[in-house]
Amino acid sequence: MISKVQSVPAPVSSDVDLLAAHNNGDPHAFAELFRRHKDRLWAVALRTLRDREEAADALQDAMISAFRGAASFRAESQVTTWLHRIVVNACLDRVRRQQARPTVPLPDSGPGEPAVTRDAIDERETRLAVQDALARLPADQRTAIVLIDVQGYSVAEAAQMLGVAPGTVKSRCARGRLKLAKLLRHLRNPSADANVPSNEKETWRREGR
Amino acid sequence: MSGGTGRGDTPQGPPWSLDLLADYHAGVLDQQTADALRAEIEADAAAQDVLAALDATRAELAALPAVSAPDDVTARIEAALAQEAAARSAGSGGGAADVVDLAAARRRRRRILRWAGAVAAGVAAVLAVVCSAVLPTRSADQQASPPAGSTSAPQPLALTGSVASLTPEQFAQVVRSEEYEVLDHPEDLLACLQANGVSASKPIGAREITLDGQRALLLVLPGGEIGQFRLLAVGPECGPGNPATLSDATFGG
Repeated sequence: MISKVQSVPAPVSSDVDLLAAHNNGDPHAFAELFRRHKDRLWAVALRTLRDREEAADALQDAMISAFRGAASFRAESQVTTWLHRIVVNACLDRVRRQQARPTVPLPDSGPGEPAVTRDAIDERETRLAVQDALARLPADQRTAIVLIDVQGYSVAEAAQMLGVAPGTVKSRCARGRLKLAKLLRHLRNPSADANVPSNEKETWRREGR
Repeated sequence: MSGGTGRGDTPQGPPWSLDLLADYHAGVLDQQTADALRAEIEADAAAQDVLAALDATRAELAALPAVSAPDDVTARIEAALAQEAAARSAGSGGGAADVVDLAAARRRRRRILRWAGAVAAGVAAVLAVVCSAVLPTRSADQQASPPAGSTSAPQPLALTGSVASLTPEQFAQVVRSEEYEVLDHPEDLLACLQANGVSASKPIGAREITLDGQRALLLVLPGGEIGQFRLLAVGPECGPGNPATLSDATFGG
């Protein structure tokens, strides 16, 4: 019989513990924090910027910025929210810089995207269409939708990450989803839109404005 | 007229504007307005179609495949963070003496582990060298993983050639390691570094390797330029007046 040595799990440090250790001079604590959250941060950067190299540069800039500015973290928000906010800001900075340049859609199966393994061709085409459609949204709408609809964060979390009011996040999502619904042909008859003067709509009371 | 405001500020319909329905769907409208509209919107088939289209859109977004940070991006950022950490340490006055103390503490810890897993480690080290030679493209993570059920230290990183060169993944693995006990006398690390002309730099990482089968300690040191590192491989006998240099190369930059 082969006996296996039972490994005792090491105590798991919380994100706040790691950040405190980093601020106390631990040279490895921040890297551990990065490794813990890198996939989610990468997803936000890649979905927002749609270009692998741009996303890698933005994520690196953001992590260096967070490393250096860790002392400014305040415990009223979560460490992940704080990290996301820095990544989002780094991405939006790059969006502003690249606005004059043509967009580069994600490849259908590049190194940043997992290979499509399902057989359903129509499903594959739909998913590609979603990526292409996302690319056509203005950056502020795309980022809000990536955070909430793709990554699954709450409106409150996304608002902290974006540094705007929750109502603004909802409004950006509303505008973005409507465009996507048309681009994805879920709304097949956009002409059904009622002829409402836009100045009347502005009189409706909205949250968070 | 449709979709405009009638009773007070409450928009009137049907038909409803797409913008209004998208706002209603996203929770943009304040509670009072949403409550006033709910019954009418729920009774309107066209409005329900629009809400269903928005739901379908959200469902498609949620179904996008998850993405993971690529290994090369991870390695690159970890290297940048390691460089930041080294720069911060140098700036705060941390010196090589700190390294020796840290090495001593780790050596005591590792010694206990090595007693417990000495046999398994020996077998695993042989296997690792064989596997690395046969499968040179294995990822750094796989190489770093100890065999199941073992608490022993990772196997040496098997490198070939006259100069130690690393893939980005291997580099990230080395900067995460502090295996100074590879030296016959780890307390002589400072003298070992000085013998190799390193006086002010603190190692960013240290990993046990084999270079063409020869056991060595690979040290990652600041390279003098942003993004550049010095890869110094020394034999276990490295110490006062004995550089025991096996390889001295740069990475990145």
